[in-house]
Amino acid sequence: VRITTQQIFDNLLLGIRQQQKIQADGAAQVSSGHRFTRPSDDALGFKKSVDIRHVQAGIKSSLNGLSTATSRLGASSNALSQMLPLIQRAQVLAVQQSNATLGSSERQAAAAEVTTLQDQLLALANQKFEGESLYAGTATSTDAFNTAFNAGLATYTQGVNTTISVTQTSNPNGVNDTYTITLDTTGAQITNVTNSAGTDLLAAANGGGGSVTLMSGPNTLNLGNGVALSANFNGTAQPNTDGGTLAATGANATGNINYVGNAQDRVAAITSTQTVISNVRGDETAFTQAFSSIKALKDALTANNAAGVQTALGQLNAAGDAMTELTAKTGGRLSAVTLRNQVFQDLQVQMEQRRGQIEDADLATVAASLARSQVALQAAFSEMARIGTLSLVNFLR
Amino acid sequence: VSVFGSLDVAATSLLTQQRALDVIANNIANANTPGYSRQEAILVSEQPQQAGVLNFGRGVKVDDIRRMLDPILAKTQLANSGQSALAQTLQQGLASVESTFGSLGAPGLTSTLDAFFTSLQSLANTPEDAIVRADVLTKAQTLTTQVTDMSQQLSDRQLAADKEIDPLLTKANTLLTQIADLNGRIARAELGATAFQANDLRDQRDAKVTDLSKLIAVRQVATNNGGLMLQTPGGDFLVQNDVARQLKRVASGSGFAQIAFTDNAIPASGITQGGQIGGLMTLRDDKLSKYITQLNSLAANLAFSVNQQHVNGTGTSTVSTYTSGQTATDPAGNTAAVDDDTNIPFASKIVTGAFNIYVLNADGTAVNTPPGTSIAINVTTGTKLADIATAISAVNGVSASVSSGKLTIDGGANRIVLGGDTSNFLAAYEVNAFFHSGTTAASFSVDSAIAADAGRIATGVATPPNPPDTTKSLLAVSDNTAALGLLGVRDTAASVDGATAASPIARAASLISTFGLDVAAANQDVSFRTAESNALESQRQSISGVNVDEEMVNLIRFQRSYEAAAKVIQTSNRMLDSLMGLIQ
Repeated sequence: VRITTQQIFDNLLLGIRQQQKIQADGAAQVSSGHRFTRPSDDALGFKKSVDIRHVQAGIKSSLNGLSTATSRLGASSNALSQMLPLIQRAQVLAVQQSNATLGSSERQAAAAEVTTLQDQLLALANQKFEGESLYAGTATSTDAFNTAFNAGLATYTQGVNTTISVTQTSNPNGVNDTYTITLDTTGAQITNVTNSAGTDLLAAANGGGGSVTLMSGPNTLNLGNGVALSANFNGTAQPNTDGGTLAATGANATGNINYVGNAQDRVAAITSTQTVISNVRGDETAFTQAFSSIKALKDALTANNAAGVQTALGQLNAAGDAMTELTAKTGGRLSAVTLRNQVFQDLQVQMEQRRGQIEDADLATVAASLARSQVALQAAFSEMARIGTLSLVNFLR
Repeated sequence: VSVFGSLDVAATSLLTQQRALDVIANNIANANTPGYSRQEAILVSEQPQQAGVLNFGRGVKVDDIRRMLDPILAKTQLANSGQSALAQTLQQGLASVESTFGSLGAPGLTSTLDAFFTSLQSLANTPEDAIVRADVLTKAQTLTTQVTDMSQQLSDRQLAADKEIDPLLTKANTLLTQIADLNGRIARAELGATAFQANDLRDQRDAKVTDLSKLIAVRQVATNNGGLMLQTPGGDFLVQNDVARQLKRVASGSGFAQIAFTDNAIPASGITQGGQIGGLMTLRDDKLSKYITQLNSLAANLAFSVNQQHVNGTGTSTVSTYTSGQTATDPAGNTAAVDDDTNIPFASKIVTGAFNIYVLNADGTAVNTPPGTSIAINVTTGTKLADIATAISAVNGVSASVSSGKLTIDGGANRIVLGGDTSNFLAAYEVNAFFHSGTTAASFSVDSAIAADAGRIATGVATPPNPPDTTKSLLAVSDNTAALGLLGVRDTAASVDGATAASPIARAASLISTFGLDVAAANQDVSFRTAESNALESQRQSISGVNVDEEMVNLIRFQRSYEAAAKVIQTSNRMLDSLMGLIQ
């Protein structure tokens, strides 16, 4: 092969360029600690790195979601566990006060303590976490329970007989019930207003007459449970007995503790498709039973009713069982969330390791490569200086 | 035969060795001239003189000055030169937009998308938290800014690549003319009675052809009488003997201008398969265009998918007025059907369906019974925007109108909540939307109403109480139904523009990996072409390159021959002197 002077210089220059690239790449890897930093360094490696970083972002986000769920369930569980001793104390008081030998004064004193227990229970049930009601479902801006009187809302559904339209005008006892209105065969009289238990509430009211003869315009129907209805009659009797139904909801009697949250659970997003329930709702039976049994005990003690105290004891036992069950259920949810948290933390460690395998520079290899390249570069420089002297021109003097 | 015969022979030798030395001198002078091909003086003996039965040699002469060249190698180098220029232009072009796609230190679009959806997840978990809401808005604005910046940078680079073509095309036209001119000069030099091998002109022509191949893809065909024909890879001739065709830019549809012949305006076929111009056009029309399309698709799908969820929800702010983000063609919204309006980017996504409108009091209770009113959209009968405004105005407590092509829903003192849209109307017209988008990523932005009030970011939905209860609010502050829907977009494959269905993250990752693979391929191509170029140049040097040492040896050889010829003359002279002495 014929070799020219140009070839020798070209080859040396090429070698120097290659070694300088190794030096530049090696320096970039050593200084950054990464095998690559840009897509052009290693397209597939960069893509894998981007994918893993996306998974890591998802894991971090999931851990945040689980942390929120853990905090919320932890606070709920904590408050629930504080409710249980209150019910247990009420049970102790009920056992003591069910003794027939005790008198009114002892029961009044006990009633005062029960009132305190009831207040504490209500305060716990209305507990807030980070400014939001814990047990109100998603309606967290208001208390989960209130004690305010509420006449409720009555919704009338018309029957076959279309001559009347019924509304609720008074509900002093805060009764929630559904009333069926029945007329006589001529359609000129309302003969029965029965509740959902099948009791005719019109029979004992309205002067014991048991029925109301309809006059054109509004007609008052006083029911046995204190509720007053108004039946607006159009004046033209229709021979049909089906006067329709009236459903009263949302009513709360004075002294009752009423759930005013909603029926929607607070779910925490763990991934874009997975959620966990992160709350306990106040419309759970445990709350209803706890409040109703304490009220029953308080009422019985106030009325010095030993038998009533005995009955309340039974209700308190059931409420205690329900509260224990709810606490256990909440603890179970919390455990499940904690377990998932652990799974995501393990995954986070694995992903960190995988990312390291892809991104991190193998410093030993890079250092060896740099040293090798440095020797080659020095040799090339030396050769470049020497090659200039190896010319026939230098010998032709 | 006489003493003078020797003098004559020696004289031819003196002359010939001198010419051979001239060739060597020329070689040494051009040792570093790019494209120079080593020349060699070919010596032959002169026609002998017959004297009786004897033949006497008459000396030596230079028969030819041969240009040392391998034509096949030259052709391969020409092809390599064009492909190298294309690969390098493409590599440099891609490198210039690499920062747009991020690096490990600033991972770019995917991490920005991740951050946006992470903030949405936090919002879903704490919808009542105003700080988290503000964070979602910030992350969304960062995302839209990044997408529009990327779009702008890619478009700018595309335009820059387009602008770079013009001066190169001028240069290519000049080279075409010069090559044709050299063709003529070579033909004239090598024909006729005074013909000589136009080695240096051929070298010059080869250098010009190589320069041309660095600009456009060319094929070289040798013709008779030293001529040369250049063609495009598609077979269109560029230069034939001393005739050159010129190139110019011609408009091509709505895209960038293409390259065509000046004489007939017909596109030069295959001209972009090599050279810098080929590299720039590949960068402009293939690579950058592909990234821009992918980015547009990402923005369009993300905007519409998020809006589909968002329009059905409500935030913590009490909103009584909504104005559509998109503008209908007809200012009164009374000409085109809502699914057929060319001004609305996603009009075609509207189907027959309905959405609910809830008119609420300040406490969230419903003004009307039942609480929600269904507004129907029928694409078969061609529901118009004005029809929808009329239907909304029929609902107690709210009015709607179309002005300047925009639908405005006004509840006055009442809070208005929309929901349950099965028609895609709300998302397409951007009523209560999260993002505003057009046909390209350049117009991707956060809806102006959301940008002004993060409280409008939808987290919950209007839920009528069951059983019906007019005293109860339809809204709950910690309801995250809508927020979960927004979060669900993260990993849901969707397609609103005919592209393959994919999730937003998958689209972003695909964009980055497409770019990465293109860069890797360009780098590999440059490495291959450079190695090939080095190997070919080495081969060319081996054949055509000047070795100074070799030339020095030849120099000595011819110098010695010259000296020897001079000695012959000296000897002959002495012989003549001796002869003259006899006469005296």
